[in-house]
Amino acid sequence: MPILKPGTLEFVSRGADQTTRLGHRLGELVRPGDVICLSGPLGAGKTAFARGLGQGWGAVPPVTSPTFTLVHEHTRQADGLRLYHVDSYRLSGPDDALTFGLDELFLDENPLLIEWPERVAGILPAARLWIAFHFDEGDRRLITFEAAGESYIDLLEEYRRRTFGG
Amino acid sequence: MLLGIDTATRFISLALHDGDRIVAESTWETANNHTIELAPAVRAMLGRAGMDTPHLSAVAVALGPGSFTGLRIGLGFAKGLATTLAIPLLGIPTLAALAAGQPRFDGRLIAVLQAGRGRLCAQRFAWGADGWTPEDEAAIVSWEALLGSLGDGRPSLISGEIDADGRRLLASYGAGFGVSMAPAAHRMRRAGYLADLAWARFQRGDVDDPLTLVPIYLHQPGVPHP
Repeated sequence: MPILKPGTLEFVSRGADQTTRLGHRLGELVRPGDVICLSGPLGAGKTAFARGLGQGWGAVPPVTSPTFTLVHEHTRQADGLRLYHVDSYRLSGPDDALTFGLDELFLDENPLLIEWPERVAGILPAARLWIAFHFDEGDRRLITFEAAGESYIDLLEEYRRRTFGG
Repeated sequence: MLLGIDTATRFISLALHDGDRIVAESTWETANNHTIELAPAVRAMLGRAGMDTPHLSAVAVALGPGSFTGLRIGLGFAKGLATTLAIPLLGIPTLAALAAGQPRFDGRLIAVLQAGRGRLCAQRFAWGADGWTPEDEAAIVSWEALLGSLGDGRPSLISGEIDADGRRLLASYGAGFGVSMAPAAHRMRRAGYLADLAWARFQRGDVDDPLTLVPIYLHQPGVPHP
């Protein structure tokens, strides 16, 4: 996986199972206060990645697509932290996001996982990890990671080291 | 008697202003139970002051910036009260009320509240003939951007809700940027100051329309963010 520049990473996943495992690895590293954005078209692997991320983080019950509820909360037994899993697919933009109180989710330290982050770009913090999923041949998916802010650059470096070695 | 209500953040503050004095005031941190706690607390405060809702002649509410749920609950409650009692409603900007509670300081005042994930909602004030006067609009900034904009030799006093990370940052780097932090009691938003500002407007007849008054959320659509 080529390292394009500090704070970025690219990887081609062979399919949904591998995408889930990649998410699992990241979930193990997610810290309180983290904001992780999952961007890409339907079927590109966002939910497979999110499912793994939830497992790795310790979410109960398993993370599923929240397309019909906008926000899922998963509590972790170890420390009582909650993982917020937001799906902005049905939001028309930040206006909609405010009318259901998305801004509230930013006010505590529970990690936030956001699908379709483009739709709420106006209220996202500048510091975040942005993961984009692209269709490749067949089941293959190109996944690009982009870290903004020092703490996310550190997170991505740790992820790269633990997941891909080196 | 004017009732002042501030539910803009996790801190709730209530006050009763009789035109001369604050006769009751109460401020506490809620675990996001604004809905459950607000109405009984207003009832209890009125009772302690030997009054009931018919004694109220106006109601004032923190208009924002603030969190979505907190503002909606405060504004909904205040509008309901003003409409049913047929008394004037006044919306007071949250950070103006905070600034009104700060002592005079030879420099700029930065009034803040938490915007989440290391961000602040901040507004600058300068001391003028009428006390603290806004120098700009409230905006969402990171601590780094805020401190970076202050190293110009003019001393700054920062007050309001500052989380543990922010306090550590200020303790380590504040002095280098000429920034000092207000003591804890000044950082707390007290509805007595909001009620003071509202009373002055009430006396001038400068009141708001319950049908059209809308809150100012932390994140306004279309406002660029750092």
